[in-house]
Amino acid sequence: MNPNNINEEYANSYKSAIMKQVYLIRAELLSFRLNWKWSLIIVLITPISMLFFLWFLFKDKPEYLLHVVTGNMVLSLVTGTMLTLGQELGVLKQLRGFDYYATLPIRKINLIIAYLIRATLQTLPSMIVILLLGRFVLHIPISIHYTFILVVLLSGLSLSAAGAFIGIYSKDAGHASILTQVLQPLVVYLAPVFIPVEHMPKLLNIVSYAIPTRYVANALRASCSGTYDLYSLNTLLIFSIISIILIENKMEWRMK
Amino acid sequence: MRMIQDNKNILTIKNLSKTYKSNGIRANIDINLDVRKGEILGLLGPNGAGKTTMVRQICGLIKPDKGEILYGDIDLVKNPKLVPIILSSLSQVMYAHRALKVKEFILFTGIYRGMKKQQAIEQMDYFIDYFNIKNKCNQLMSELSGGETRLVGFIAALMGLKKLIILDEPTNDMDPEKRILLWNLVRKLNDEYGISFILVTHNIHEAQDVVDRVSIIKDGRILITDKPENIIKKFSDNVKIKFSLPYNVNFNASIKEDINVLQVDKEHYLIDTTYKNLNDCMHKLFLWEKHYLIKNIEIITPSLSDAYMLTVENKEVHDNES
Repeated sequence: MNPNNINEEYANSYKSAIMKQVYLIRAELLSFRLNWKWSLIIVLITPISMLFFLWFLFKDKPEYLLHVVTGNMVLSLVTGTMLTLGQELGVLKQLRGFDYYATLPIRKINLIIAYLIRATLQTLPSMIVILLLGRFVLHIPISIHYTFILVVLLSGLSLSAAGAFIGIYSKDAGHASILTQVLQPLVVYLAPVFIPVEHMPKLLNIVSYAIPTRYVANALRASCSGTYDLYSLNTLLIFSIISIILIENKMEWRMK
Repeated sequence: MRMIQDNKNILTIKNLSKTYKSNGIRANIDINLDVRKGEILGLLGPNGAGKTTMVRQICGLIKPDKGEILYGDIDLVKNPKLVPIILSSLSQVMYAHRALKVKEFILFTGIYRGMKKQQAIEQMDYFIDYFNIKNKCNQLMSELSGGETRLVGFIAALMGLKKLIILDEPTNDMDPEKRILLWNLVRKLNDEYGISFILVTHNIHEAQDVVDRVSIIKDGRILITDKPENIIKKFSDNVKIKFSLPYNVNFNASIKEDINVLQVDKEHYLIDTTYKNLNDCMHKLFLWEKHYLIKNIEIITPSLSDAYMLTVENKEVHDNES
């Protein structure tokens, strides 16, 4: 056994930082071993049932139908990222799971990115199923633009800070669960996710400028119509950068 | 070759205090403690004494209300990002990466700590062979028993062999064979590589054979920090003499009364005395005309466990008096 086994130069290098990120992501993806069936049910059941319910209500109003499909995708993304992240970090905090990570030379954002990639991938089956059902069962005209993947990633990242903060600052897992469940309908229904922006009350319309789901919904609608919404993508990028800065600098996993 | 550097500290803790806002409990009160380079420091104390709070502050997991934790001139309280570079730790609770297999958990921890993959694999294989747990390598962390989880956590804490390793109750729930292997490995790493350890434990018997110095903590304050033998001398002057006699022989009544001999059962006797009176007791015992029947004489000096109990009880007496 070699006691001088950590080469400080290597440990502080970009190569080591990339390896740490890759292994954190790998560890998160391997967590599908334990609970993939339940995860799948959670991300599928609400958006799909909501899709059929809303289709039934709006099937005679074609201007709403794309909102129905993309709205459910947003719902799925919010559930898969913000809600999952908030609740899982809440459990981790309650069970002192951060003790392990906080005593390792890894950055908080690396852990959050790993969680986020897993959570975003977890929502993919739901997104695909919603797209297929919308296109082939409900016959809604959908044409995917290549920016779709970018929209999904930026959406996850921009929503992650809220989930991470709830998880870290909640008293326990129960508290985190309640907060995320309160926040979820607020970010989904106070923004033009299911309803076209011109049909929203003026006040809600103004408020929704501060909510990332407004831009997630706009960007998703554009990428499902065969185009892209540069303004929304840029705004999501800004939200994502703010998330990264907040997580790295303001999120404290030390107990007070 | 082990070398404790008496005049060099790996950590210097000054006036460390912590009160939990949620319940108002003062977990640590003005703690002052040096951890010397190359030593194994045992932290002993009853439940709720503040041991875990103290090590969690050292590990950067709890923010102290006041005080300093110095690594050289660097205050780790103000620079928590440096903590993982200086030390590694095994926490009391382990809940992370539960979907990983044992070997993945250990390997990934090595990589997170900045090891190259090949080096991490070699070190992991060494520890797995040492503890003879190859058969557990492909088991998921969530499927392990409490003792197995602690053992894997201990190996993960060793990965990268940091200069200071903090172990909070490392042998809890572990089987006796693995406990012995663990303590031997701690001693070996300390002897051969000069790694310093802070060891939080309830198991004083086990700790006595391993630690260089002991710090006893109670009600958030450090009562004493010294070498085990000095603590024993300081707090316990008691010596016990045990011996046996054939069941049909009656011990001389006057000597029995004079040196306070207690008959434990038909054949066994016990004298509770002090170091000062030890010679006198032995002398009187052998003045008895049937002293040739005395067998199995054993002089029992106090253990660290006895000294610990006396230290903690003395503190209670002082507290009540004041």
